[in-house]
Amino acid sequence: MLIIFLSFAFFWSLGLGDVHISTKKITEIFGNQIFGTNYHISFTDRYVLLNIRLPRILNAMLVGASLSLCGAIFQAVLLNPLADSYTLGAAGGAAFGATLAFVLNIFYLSVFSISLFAFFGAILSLAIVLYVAGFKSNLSSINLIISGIIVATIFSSAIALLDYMASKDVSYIIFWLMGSFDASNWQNIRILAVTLGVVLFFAFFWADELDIISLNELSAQSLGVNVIKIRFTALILATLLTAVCVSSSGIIGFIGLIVPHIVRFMIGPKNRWLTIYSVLLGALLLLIADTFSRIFSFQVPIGVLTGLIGGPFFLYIYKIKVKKFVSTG
Amino acid sequence: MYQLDNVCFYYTKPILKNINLTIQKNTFYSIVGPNGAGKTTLLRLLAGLLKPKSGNIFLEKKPIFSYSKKQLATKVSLVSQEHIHFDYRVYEIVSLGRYPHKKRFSFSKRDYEKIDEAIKICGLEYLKNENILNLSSGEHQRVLIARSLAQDTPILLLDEAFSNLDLKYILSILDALMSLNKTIISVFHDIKLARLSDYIIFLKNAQIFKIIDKRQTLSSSFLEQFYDIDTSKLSNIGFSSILI
Repeated sequence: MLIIFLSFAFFWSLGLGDVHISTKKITEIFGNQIFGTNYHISFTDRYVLLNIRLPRILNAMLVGASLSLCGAIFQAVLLNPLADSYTLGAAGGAAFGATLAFVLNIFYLSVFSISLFAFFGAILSLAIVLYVAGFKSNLSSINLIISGIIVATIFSSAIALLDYMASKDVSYIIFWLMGSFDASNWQNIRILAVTLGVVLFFAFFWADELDIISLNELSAQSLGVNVIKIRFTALILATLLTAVCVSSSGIIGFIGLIVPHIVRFMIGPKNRWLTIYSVLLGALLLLIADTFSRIFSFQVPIGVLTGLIGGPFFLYIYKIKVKKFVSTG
Repeated sequence: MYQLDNVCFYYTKPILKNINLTIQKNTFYSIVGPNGAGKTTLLRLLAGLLKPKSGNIFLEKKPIFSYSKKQLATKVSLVSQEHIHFDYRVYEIVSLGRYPHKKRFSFSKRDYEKIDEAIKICGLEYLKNENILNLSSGEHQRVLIARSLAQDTPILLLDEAFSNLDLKYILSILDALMSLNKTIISVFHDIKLARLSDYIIFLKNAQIFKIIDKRQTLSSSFLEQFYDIDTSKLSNIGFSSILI
């Protein structure tokens, strides 16, 4: 069902934009590319479709899928329905790392250096958040979110400071940080796709363990799950995926929080299906959101759009869910 | 089943000192004691979740840490009290108990049988598809017990697992456990329930104060000494019969 919606949205969004391309032309262009057929296509249509629109659409889908998967994983291993890359401060840390690499002109490892710096930034902020929230003693939902927001604020101030001190033009950074798929390119898409694949494989493979960990640490141990190993690996993988997303398209908040909730509502919380469906639904939602932001004449940054829609949704979940278990820890 | 030699455990202050204990097969033990006596710590040591600071714990004559985590989970299971944050169905929670036995991507026929049996013993058939977050605390507790039963281990450790349960379920579940030939070690806050067991282990000040078997009566002087209370005061308000 979701797959059908997704492919439909995929073709629909391919056609939309400043240059309208009909579905017939789209199939013809793909035909030429894949099967070597010989339809006559104008250069503009071909260029727009293959070099601008397709990368952007794939990027949006991959980022939506990845952030939703990160959200599902964070929520399971931290036993916290409010966790995602954004609320935990991981996205903020990643943005700081990426900005640092950009401002200091660190490109030793070509395209990987930004992702790598973003990863270190994300790990650093996650470590601070978990430490401040008292990871060992209890995993109180509120503590975790509050420290996540504080750490994210500190990092965003640090980014502003970097921008201020940088000698070069930083308007690009500022726009990128608001979340945007304008700069989508095939290199980023490849990195994203591979990372997403690896993380999804682990999440699917370890779905039983994630289920058990999401209940209670003590009972997880007594059921024979290696909690420390799996939780640590899952946190690292989700942080890595967050970092790759942030380096490709900036901070896009709340999608990773909302999607797993909708999926749980639809099919329940078992992680084997939760992860797969979150990936599909996340791809679909962000693709639709990005297409809307694209076809408006004034081009809203996607991060702004998800923030405007996702923020209120977060408040809603906070209101109904947190009340239930704040009192119980 | 278990053999404990001089087991000690402490964080900053001692929690358990020089515990020597032999646990026999297919026997029901209960552990009672005042708050902070080390009851829960003792259970966690037996579950292999904590390592003793000194001394040894043997499970079936082998050191408990020579078993892998999964092997141990096929021998010992622990029921404590836990809060659940996600809206799993009762059946899903119980089936997680099969984790140490099941294949990664599927359940066997035996898995399904054990899950159904556990659900039946705990009287949960009518709640099978209910959302765990909507249950009462007693029902919730029965789900956790059922998950441990599905785990199908010869040893069952219960950390006040029967709190919030109606007497009807406590008796029927205990009955079923005994007929399944399990070794049960249960922490009770309520000494009345402990009287149902074969042996009562009295823990006080990090040590074993006394172990009595079920034929022995508990004298009020013993209880006064153990709980630091004056039972005559209790009897004035009709409590003594409950205690003994």
